[in-house]
Amino acid sequence: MSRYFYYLVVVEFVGSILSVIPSFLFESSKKGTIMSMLLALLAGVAFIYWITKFFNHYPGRGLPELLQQHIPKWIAFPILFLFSLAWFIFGLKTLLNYSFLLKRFLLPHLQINWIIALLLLFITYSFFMKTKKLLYTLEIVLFINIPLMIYIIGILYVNTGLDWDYVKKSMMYVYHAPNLLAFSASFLIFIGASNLIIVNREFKNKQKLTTFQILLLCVLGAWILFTNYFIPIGYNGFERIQYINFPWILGTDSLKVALAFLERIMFVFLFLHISVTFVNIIIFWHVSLELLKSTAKLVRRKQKESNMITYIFVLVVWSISLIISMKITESSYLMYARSLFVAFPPFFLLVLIVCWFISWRDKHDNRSLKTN
Amino acid sequence: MLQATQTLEWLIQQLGHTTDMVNKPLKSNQKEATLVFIKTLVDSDKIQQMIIKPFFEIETRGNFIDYLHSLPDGQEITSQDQMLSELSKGSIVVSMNNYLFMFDIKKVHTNTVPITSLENTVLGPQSSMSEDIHTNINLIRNRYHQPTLTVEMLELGSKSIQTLAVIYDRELVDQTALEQIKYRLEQLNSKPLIQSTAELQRLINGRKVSLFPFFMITERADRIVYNLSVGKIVLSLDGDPSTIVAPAIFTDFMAAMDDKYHSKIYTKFVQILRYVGLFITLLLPGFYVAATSYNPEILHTELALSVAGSRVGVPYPSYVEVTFMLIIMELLIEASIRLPKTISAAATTVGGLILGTAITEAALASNIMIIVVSAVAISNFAIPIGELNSAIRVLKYVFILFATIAGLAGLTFGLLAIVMYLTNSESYGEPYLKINIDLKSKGEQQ
Amino acid sequence: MITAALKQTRWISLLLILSLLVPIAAGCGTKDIDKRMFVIGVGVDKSDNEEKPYKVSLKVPVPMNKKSSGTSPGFIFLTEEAATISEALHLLTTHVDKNLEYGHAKFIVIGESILDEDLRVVMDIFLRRREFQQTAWITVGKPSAESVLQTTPASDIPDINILFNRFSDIGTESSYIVSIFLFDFRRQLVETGIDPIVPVIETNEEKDKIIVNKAVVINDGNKGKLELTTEQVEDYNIITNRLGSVKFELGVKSEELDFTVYIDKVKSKYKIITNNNKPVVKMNLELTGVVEESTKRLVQHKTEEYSRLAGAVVKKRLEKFLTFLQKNEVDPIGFGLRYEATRLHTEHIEDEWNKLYPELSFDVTVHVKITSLGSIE
Repeated sequence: MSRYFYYLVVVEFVGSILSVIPSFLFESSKKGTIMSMLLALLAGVAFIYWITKFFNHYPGRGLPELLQQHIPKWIAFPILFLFSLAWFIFGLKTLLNYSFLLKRFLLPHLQINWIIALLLLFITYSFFMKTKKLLYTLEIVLFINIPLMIYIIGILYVNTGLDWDYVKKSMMYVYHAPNLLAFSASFLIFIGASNLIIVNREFKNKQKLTTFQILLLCVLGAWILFTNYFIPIGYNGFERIQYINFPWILGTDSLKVALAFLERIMFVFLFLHISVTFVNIIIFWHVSLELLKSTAKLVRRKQKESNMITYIFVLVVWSISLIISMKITESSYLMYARSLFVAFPPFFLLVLIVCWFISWRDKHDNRSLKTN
Repeated sequence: MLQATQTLEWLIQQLGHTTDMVNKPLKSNQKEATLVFIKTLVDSDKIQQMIIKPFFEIETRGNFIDYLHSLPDGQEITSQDQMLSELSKGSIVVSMNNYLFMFDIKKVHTNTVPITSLENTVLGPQSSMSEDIHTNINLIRNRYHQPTLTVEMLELGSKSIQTLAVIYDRELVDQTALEQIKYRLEQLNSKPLIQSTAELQRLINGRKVSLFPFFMITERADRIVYNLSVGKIVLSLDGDPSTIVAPAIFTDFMAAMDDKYHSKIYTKFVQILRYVGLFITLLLPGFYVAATSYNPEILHTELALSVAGSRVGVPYPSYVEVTFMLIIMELLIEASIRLPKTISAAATTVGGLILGTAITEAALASNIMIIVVSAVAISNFAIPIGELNSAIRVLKYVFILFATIAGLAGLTFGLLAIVMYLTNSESYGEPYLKINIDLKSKGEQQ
Repeated sequence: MITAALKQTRWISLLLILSLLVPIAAGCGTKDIDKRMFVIGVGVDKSDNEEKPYKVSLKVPVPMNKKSSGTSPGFIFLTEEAATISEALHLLTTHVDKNLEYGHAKFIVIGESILDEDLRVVMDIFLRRREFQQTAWITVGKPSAESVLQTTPASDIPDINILFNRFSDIGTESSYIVSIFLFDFRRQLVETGIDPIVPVIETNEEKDKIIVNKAVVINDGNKGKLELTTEQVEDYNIITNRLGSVKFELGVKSEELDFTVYIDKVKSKYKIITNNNKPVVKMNLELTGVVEESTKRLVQHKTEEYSRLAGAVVKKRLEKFLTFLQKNEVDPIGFGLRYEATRLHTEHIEDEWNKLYPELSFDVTVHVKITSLGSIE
């Protein structure tokens, strides 16, 4: 598989550490998170496998093109619109969490809607970029940030402040039934590959997903889940970790490392966080925008419409984000996020069903062509 | 067919009033010929050897005409206006028996091959392009002995009519880029005067406002040849030693020819050093502003206290201080380009004393600020190519702006924004900022 | 083509808007570094006032221009009484002309008087506010936090607090010092299987000397505290492998011999065994060292015997220490945590442990390896 595929998957892995997912994992830490994580690992790798296998059959084409070809318009239109909405919500939830974090740690003096406006200023530029350029940006940002990430995680593992007794204690809760919220939260780590629905347009050569690559992704995913859940426990203790709002930030703050002129490693971690989450949001919203543009193309075939759509999208994004930012607080955000998270795995099942349906129709059409 | 005598008369009339026009009739036995040329442009030795001597040595008129036909410097005559323009470039018109011949015998004074002055390397060839286009092409061809090397000549400038050579390797060149460049060059008919390649670069850029360079300008022969061998297009303008190499991407600007001449490990070290210098010069002033005014908890306690200590008594906020010091540094750099050599010593003293000691003593800036500014100024010049240098100099103010608005987060966003902008740009179809780690690519881009 | 030009102008106009934001934002958030003061130590005491039970003290260094000042450090000490700690911190900002920044607060000193309170309430603000570093050191101040903070020993280097050197690995290295970070304190405080141990800083009347060689174990169950003597602190350090590269001296006395071993490597492991009807903690220690001082001449071939003697001394010491802890119902080493970490979780595991702990017996095996008898015999 092309290396850009891996970037998509990895950026979601890394982004998951920095989002609200660990908090949800810890919420049910005494109620069977570990089982849920294992199940989610299986489900997630399976998801990546199926969706990649599907798209490998159709190099150079994204979901809109395939839908247009095989599915009647009156089904395709709502599907695309729904998907566009879903991706928009992904980006939105990440954006909100991001701005909460910025307000708390780096920009306490700015009001939250100024922070969101600042973020949107930069994100808006990305709406005018093409998919290929976005992938290059992703590559460069990851290029700078992955070594930092590995360094920080390495230090986290090795530092004497990490007490494995707490980790072992949390592992002893393994015999509990899996928990829906924890399962959904862990599953969402693996959805990076779903961005293929648009990005596959750029993979013009025939791609292959070998068994070795699947295994690699499996191992990587497992390791990320492990780190995501157990490392903060090792640093923050197990008993009351569900009451910590930003377990990772607090965890990295617990490191005493003499790093040149920086006092706290937390800031390096924050820098990493800012860049990766930003790219994450850009990708989500790019996919959402492209899906929206393709709904317009489905209805009318003129080319001029796509720019109009972009402007409308910009307007919608700005207004919704600013309005929500003024009404939401951290706790109401968590409430909405909880219900959203639980709704996502079924949604991705729907995505898989759509893909399966397309491939079934494709074979059906081919068969009928052959018989004719 | 042009009437010889008529044409000649017309030419003489057009050129008439200038003292350096020569209208020389030659007579020998039964042969008669007339030479028309502009004395200050032509090589008189060549006239002597090529035309006048044989004129008197060859017996028959017919033989001489055959001789003139067979001279390699002959130019095709298309119209009277073309003859006139060629005369003003240094050709000679020979009229004999109603035959008209035109030869290119211009004398060039600018064809010395200088040593490189702008891009210096320690090892490797040191010759730079001269100001004469034929010498340049000679230098290039001598280093690239490939028959596929194609040279196309165009004329630019409606008043100055300079020759532009478009040079590329026919087999390796990027066709889309070539077509785009040629298209843009054709659009330039209205410009009267194009004197330098830098000006040319701005005109065929395709963008109204640009900060980053999308062409590379170089004077080194070895660099040009290297770029030709990977499929780039070279534009060389008569009268300017700097040549344009297109397309150019970001990593080209961070590479010096030295990288090929030193050992691999040293090269890697120096390349990393350059990128470190790039980041220092871009981000350090912004980081200083962010760390002092927004998030002072990011620095070590002792460092924070010493920064606070050194800022005691400075009357204005840190971003004003930073900008003020950087502007003074920029003025110093600008002035030193234009200083006559006799005053340069005074300038150093002025710069050192004023910027360094006096400002801190008067508490107009802090000590640490001076260090930051010096580090920034020095690391700026670690970037090998001048254009990127200038771009970065402007860009750091943008970063200071971002840092002023939103501290450390603003700095990060600024960095992301620049990355986005650069990856979004293209230099003739090549993405401007891209990490090239394809193992199947043609070869390193330099 | 139109959209390309539009895109360009949009980008430029965005930039213009951005530059307009500067004056707005410049008024909002930027506060220059010399308008801030960095608090490096916070102390909490119990005040005599009933309505304002918390007395908060701060230690703030005054930044000096290195060229113009001398070498003496400038510190400001601020104190305020209030009903809650955050109120006190707010009031304290009115004592100085600059903003107080807690991002560099490296010390949180808890006065002896306040140890009787529920420390979870006291520590809450330090955990909740984002500015406090998780790697700040928690200590107990004797006689009071305020006096500890106000102590400026004569050898204090400008701008560097001497306490900082004591606790970090850069300064003094001693086996009698135990140090605990804020995050560690917190997790031990809320964890049921372990009780936090906090070093005690003592200062004398003239406030120019600092002595750190005792510790206090905080029992959050009974809200009590248990003081550990210097030697017991050393025992704790040995058992929990906290010595790192620090060396300590072991005095061995018997009827004929009296020598000191300088131990430089300690490895300690323990297991809780409950499958017999008598639960036991099996602890294995390995100490490596050389002989440093001796009153009598030592013989080379008797090194084994000397090692055994040393081992017996350590074993007795540690067993005494562990039973002392057990009798006082505190568990700073974390046996409870280890117990829960090695058994699958059930509902009653905590009660099980609480019943088990007083019944535990300790079986300590110490193996001392004396590698050399020194330069002389």
